[in-house]
Amino acid sequence: MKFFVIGDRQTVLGFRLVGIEGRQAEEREDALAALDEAVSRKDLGIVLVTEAVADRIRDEVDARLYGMGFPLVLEIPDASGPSPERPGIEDVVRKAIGISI
Amino acid sequence: MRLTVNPTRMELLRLRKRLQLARRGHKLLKDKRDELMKRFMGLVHQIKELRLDVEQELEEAWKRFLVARSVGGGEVIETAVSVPTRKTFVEVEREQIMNVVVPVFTLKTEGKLASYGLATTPAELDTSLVAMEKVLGRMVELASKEKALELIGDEIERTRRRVNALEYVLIPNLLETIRYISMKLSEMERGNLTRLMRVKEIVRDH
Repeated sequence: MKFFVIGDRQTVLGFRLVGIEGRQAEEREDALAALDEAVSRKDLGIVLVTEAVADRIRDEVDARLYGMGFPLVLEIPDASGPSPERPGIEDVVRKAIGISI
Repeated sequence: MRLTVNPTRMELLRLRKRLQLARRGHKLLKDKRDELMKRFMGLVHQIKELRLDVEQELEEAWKRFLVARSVGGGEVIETAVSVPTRKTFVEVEREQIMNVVVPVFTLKTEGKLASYGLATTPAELDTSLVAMEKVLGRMVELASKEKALELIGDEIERTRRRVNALEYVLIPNLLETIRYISMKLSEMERGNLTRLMRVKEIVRDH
């Protein structure tokens, strides 16, 4: 199975260096289309989405993040570094199963 | 809430068996839940550290890439990476943690790492490439760990529901019904006894 990356120009370019194809998505529509494409493709194992893009399509990403099956969605920071308001793992856990650590 | 059964001795015995079974199931499920929790917490800590590592390494890689772009010029870099010779893909295996099937990914690469001529591109491109490659492996690990965490979380939720259903619904119901039947039986016993005594008295009077 392959990787796929959805992000800004810089990110897509960077990942192409190591042989990962991707789609550039700046606007919400682009990002949605890219995610749909990635999800419907059967040969993908992991989809990398930059935080900036993921924020624009938060609902869809979260649905995939907590959903079952392939591909897995992983949020990664882009060239501007990790965003400070991204929920930490504690929040994710609390939201998902209601246990606070 | 009492179960709707006939108050007979047969039913009483059956219910006692069921109660025993429910208690055993409850204990087992509780153990399962505790073990799952332990694994879950372990994973949480691992992911926390891994996330930080990945973010740092990725930032480092981006920095290098930015430098490469500004040194070499955007167009040079773009042509350099436009036809990658490197093929990166993942292999999926399935692993079981406490009956939860989780995917485990391993990174596989094929082909030459550098796809460009060395003369026209800056050296920073090479280092950014190596850094990128390194962080990729960690990212794969992170992705499978996060998925495992989520799957285990689901399983914990399911198990907890079952434990609670047994503890707060089924077991109390069974206990109440057992009490009801045994009381009904002794009541019948007493009624029978007085009836017998009364009959005997009538017989003696004759």
